[in-house]
Amino acid sequence: MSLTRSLVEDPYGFLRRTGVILLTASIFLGVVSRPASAADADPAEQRHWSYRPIVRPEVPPAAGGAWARNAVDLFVHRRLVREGIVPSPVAGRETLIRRVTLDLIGLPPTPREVMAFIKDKRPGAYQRVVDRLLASPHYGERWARPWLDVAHYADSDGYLTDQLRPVAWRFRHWVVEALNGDMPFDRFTIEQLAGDLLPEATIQQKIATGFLRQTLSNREGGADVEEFRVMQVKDRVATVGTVWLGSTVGCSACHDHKFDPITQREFYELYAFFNSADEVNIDAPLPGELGPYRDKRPEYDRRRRELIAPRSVEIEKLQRRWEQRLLEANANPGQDYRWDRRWEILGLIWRQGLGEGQLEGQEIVKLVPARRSQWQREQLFEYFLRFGADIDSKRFSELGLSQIKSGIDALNRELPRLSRAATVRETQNPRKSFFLNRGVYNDRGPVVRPDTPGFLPPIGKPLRRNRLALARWLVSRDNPLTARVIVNRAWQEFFGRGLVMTSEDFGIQGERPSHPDLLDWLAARFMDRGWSTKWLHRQIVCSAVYRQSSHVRPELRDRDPDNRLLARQSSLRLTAEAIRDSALAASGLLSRSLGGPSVRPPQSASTVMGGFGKSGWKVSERDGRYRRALYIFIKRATPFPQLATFDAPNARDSCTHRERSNTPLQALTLLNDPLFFEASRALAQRAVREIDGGTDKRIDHVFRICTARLPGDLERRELADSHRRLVAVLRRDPGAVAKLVPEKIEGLDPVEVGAWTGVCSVVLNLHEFITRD
Amino acid sequence: MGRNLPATLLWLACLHVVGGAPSAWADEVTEAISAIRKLGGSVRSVGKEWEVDFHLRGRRLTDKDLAHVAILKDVAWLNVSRTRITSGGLVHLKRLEKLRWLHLEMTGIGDKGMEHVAGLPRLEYLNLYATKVTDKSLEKLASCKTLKRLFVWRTGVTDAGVARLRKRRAGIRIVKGLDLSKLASVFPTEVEKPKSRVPLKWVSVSSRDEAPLRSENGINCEILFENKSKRPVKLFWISYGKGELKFYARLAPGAIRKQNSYSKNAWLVTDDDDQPLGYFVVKPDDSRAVIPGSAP
Amino acid sequence: MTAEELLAIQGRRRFLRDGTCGIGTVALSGLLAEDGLVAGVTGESDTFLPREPHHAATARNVIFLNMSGGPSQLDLFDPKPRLQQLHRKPVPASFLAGLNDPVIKAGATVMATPRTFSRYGECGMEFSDRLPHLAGHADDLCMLRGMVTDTANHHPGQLLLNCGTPMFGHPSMGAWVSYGLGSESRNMPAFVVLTSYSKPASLVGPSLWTNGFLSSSYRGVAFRSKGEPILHLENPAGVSEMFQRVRVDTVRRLNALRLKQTRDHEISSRIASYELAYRMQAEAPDLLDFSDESAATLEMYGLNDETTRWYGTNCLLARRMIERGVRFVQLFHSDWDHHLDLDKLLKVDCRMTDRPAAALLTDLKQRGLLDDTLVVWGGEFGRTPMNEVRRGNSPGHQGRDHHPFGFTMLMAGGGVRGGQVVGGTDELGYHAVEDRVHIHDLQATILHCLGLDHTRLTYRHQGRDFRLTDVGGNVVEKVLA
Repeated sequence: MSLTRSLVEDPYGFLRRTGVILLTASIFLGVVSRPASAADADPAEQRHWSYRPIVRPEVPPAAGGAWARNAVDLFVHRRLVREGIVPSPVAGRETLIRRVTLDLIGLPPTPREVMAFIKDKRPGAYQRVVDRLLASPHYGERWARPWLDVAHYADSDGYLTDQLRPVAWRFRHWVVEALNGDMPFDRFTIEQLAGDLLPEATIQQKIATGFLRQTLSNREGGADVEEFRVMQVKDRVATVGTVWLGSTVGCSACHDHKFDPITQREFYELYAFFNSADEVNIDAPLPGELGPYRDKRPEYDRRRRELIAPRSVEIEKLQRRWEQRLLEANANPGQDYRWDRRWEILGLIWRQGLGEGQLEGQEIVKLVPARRSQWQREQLFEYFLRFGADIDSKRFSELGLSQIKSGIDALNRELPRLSRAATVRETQNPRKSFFLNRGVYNDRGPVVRPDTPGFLPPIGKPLRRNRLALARWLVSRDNPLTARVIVNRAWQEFFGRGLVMTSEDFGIQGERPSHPDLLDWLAARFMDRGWSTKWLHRQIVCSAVYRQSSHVRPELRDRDPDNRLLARQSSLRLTAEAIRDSALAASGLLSRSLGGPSVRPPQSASTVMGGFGKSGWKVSERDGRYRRALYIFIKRATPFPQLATFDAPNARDSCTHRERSNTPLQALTLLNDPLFFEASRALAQRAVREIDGGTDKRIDHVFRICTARLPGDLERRELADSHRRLVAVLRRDPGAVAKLVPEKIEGLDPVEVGAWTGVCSVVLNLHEFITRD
Repeated sequence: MGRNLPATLLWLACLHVVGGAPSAWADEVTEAISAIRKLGGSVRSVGKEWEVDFHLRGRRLTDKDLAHVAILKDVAWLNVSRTRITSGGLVHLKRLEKLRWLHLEMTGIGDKGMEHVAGLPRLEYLNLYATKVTDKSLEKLASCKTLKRLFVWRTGVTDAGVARLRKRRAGIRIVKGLDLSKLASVFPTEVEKPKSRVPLKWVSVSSRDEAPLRSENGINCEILFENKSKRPVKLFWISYGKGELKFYARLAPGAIRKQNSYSKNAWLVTDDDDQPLGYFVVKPDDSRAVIPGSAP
Repeated sequence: MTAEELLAIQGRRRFLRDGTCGIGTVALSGLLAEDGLVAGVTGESDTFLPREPHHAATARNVIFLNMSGGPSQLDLFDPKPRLQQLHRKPVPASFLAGLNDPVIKAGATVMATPRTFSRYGECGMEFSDRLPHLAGHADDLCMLRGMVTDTANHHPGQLLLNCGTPMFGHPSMGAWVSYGLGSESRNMPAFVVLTSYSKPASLVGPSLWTNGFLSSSYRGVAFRSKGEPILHLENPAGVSEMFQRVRVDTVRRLNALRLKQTRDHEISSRIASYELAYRMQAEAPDLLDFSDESAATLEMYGLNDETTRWYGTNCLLARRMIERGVRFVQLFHSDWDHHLDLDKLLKVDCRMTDRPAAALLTDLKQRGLLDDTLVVWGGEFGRTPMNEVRRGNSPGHQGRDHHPFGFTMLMAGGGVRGGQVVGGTDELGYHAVEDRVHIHDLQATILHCLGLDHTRLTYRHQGRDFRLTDVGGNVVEKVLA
């Protein structure tokens, strides 16, 4: 037990590092019971640190001169003083503006922005840059990405069939806009988990529930549809656990959590909140769509009625028979495999290829006709027309249903389309939630009611225990986890590591915070300031801690190899998206248009063949090829290789912390991938065109564009030397020049452009270019 | 002295990053190591011996370059596979009296000079795969008393040559590879031993009611269904409990199907229109269930 | 351009390419020092120096056939007649005494294997009929029937198997080996990962081949599992060899200057990865081009058969990589997590992998490479002797659950005595009772064969010496030849 206690009292985690190996080993062997249950004296004090209420700590008194710029610094500085370490000097202005620009909008600063900042000698120059960046529409694009990582967003279903979800992007767009508008994080939470349950919910609020639609769908036959529905609900619970609670609750689906105080029963109580949410797509018209649609709709309705009118009673009778047969099959599985299969297919392929909600068709059939909406009636009828003949093929043709089908198809083609969006809504056919023995979907134990885990404050007495109540509970002032977890993930984006290194696990097995007071202060203030994400980001980037130089200090290498004490900034390799975006921005190719459907830039033929078939990847038109990487179509089974090479996560599970690897495959991509070479060529043309005159001046310009700074003398000499050599190489090889510079440009010497293409590609390959210092 | 220098130091020495004046002999070794590394080879010291690789990045190695290796003398492990050496280079090996492991595969060597290899007093492993050696080399190698493993796949060595060497030196494991033309027999696409199966009794019926009400639990076993009738039939398992019919397969005329089942399970056979024809009850053993040709 | 300049360029080009000037990654520190670029910067550059092993090695390379998901030992390797007798009966209480694992619950019933076991080879090693080809290598294989691990969850179990601890962030075995032996003189990465799967919801991810707190140069390089294994090996159109060399040289020299300025060691890894990338451009096409393989070899690996082509390609690539100096090749196949329909799904994974894996052993053997190469076959844990019913009781749909207390792995090749079974489980196959081999023991043994003492292969991080085997691990002497 003393080991357990020292673990709890060890604020910095060194002991954990050394002791935990033994501890975990002994837990596995069943020697030590769950450490969290070590409550014997004062329960509040004995509780695991992250489960204690967030109490705003006193800000340490200002000391140590003028270094500190805000409260964040005082917490960090207190610790540094205790360790006898002085902070690093502030980074140079060029480094600083590049750092903060990449961190806040995910793009490098332009030379003009760099120069403006360098020349701005008035007080508050840095704050003005920060203000400009926080107001940029690209801020939302940058910060949507980590959120989409945790939501595990994608444009396809996953699994073998991996069907596309053409309207998935509506959720992505919602996230970008919410972030740009600095939607308070509590509202941001509530709308995504329960936007549909808000009174008078708007279409935007419903689109927000697309968060819950990022689960994988299996549309392959032979699977039990209920099994996959249960899997999706479990994934939603696990994702919410990871994203808001920093807890690995997913483990508890099959058994009590081995380390954290969450039982299997509590898992299913959380599960019950989500078990009643059904996947549905809704009409979510984009600007300009509604008018033409409304104009045509009455005419459409009239003609559609006319088509059916003569035999509508008989048709409805036949359709009811068909529905009855399907419902029978559902109630008595195994009686007739053919109707079992038809029932299954109704669930699996409902409006196939349009990314519609799975099982939506089944839910409509289960609904008594009087309760069906017009849309539901129409869609089911059209499904019946396509697949219903089996009920009585003779009658089906007598009633002329095939002709009616083609008539309706023709009408549908004429009716202007309304864009749709993937959402969830509370089910119309209430279902009970069960404790599932060992997590097996059909091994039902007792019925469970929605509730929150016992180790956290109770949910209280909301009117209804539904998703809305859960979402409100997640962002209530009493919840000790949400604010800490969110603040920590933001910190991780700015420093490479969270104050809690295991940003996905705040439980017993997770690391302890390096600066517990700072974490709590930020969490408390974050809530006090109305959960403003922009406030939080500004607080961090305006601190002196953030502005330090990232240069490695040899004297600290052994003492603090991971830079946990924050005596400097860290150099961080850019994310996959930022690398691509930066190359496009530097070259001038980048399209800065915002939002819209996903795009398909070119990728290697073998990837296309393997994942999409011969014509499955229709390359986007010019603008679409150069959009920000955020907008690249994500097919779960066939990730975009360029991004995967730089550690973009697969969209299978929630990813709270990306890897930053360094492999030869990355070098091959930056050297040889056509996109990066194209960027080099464009940058070369830009340099040759924009700068008249000497090699050195052009080198300076390119270097400034790519790294925000000017090259040193040695660096400039190396680049000039490479330029000279490349010119020599190309003068002897006109064939190569023709391939290198396929389009002649008025007034530019192709050999020069070719040589500069090489020089520019060197700069785009520099470690510094793909790193933010 | 030089030999006992840590590899790192030697390495730095050969890059002329640190200087020093070891003895002339050590100089010689240091130079040889430097030369080997320049050729793309790698040298590691293990205890008092050396291990030398050229197959990684030193594949431009030629016969005369092997002289550098000879200078090291105490080489226990040498890999020159896939390099450019030929028989002429083997003469350099004769000084390597501690050599136990020698990779010569995929090089241009032939029978010439094999006596230098055969004369190595401690050689245990010799890889001649994909070289031009013939039975003549094997005759020379017969005198190598320490040799334990010899690889001669894809060479000019014949079965008769191998047999002769085996006769003289029974202790050598000689690998001449598989006869790949007989691959099919070594790698059958599906290995299925014929099983002895007990026959199941066919009970002919004309309605569901005549078949068992439900299946009972039993032990795991496998049934081989054979449709000897002249029309397709359908196979249903009669479930436990309610005795529902679960469709398993449709068997074309003459088709067979292996089916996992349990003893005391009942299987109903119908025609294509689900009209019952007969049933089987499974015995506690692997069994054969023949749907008879005379079925109505 | 003067002749002198041309020569300089060509010299440089050959410099790394062909080794005529003898310097590759290994010489990076020297190279940089020579260029006057990194004087005074030390430390990380030692990364690439060749290191002395602790003792003479019996294996130079490892091919780890990682069977992710937990293959069922009871249906493949460990015949238990008692299972047939107790089929569908509850597990006798005596086996469950003292167990307190939430994953393993009492009350389940025993499941007999639907497979038939036979004896193979001169040694008479038993295999089920699911792995007929691998069984043909019985006399080469050492079968470890007494494997145990600490956890019955996939990811912690896989982390333990690959990284020696169920926690995130520790180096993987391949990274430790590259660190321990240096990654000298190579045209290919020292540690390569290949994947294949029967189910797309793969259990395999980069945390299993991470460098952890070691230099990122030691991280496993994962080739693509479909399409071209490596993209962008070709220079862009119009980029000649000379052009490319100027690019790569200049990138290196500028990165080295930056390293001197910032002392960020990640830059030395970046420099190394560029040099390696450049050499891979020359070497990889030769690696990936199977046209020099005979038709019989391709057939043996199953490349002409849809079922076996994927794994067969990976196995053939593994052999070709070993020949080209890749020290640690890990082939992940997922997944063997057969909770239901075990017999059917086991057949799928066996058919995908059995023949290629056996062909790999045959091929290594006939080329004399099996004596240098350690081959390991196995997953993170085994499966329960009990039935797991997930989809009603209809015949043939049963599976088995995760089982950490006794399972089987295979080893063959350099330093391993084949034709023997080490260890065994109780009559139900529940607990390993004889010659228990913990995952750490397996790791210690693999390192031992490579000439490394697992207690001495350490790395100081945050004030503590870490090692692959944590605080455990004993070399399993019985395995060794």
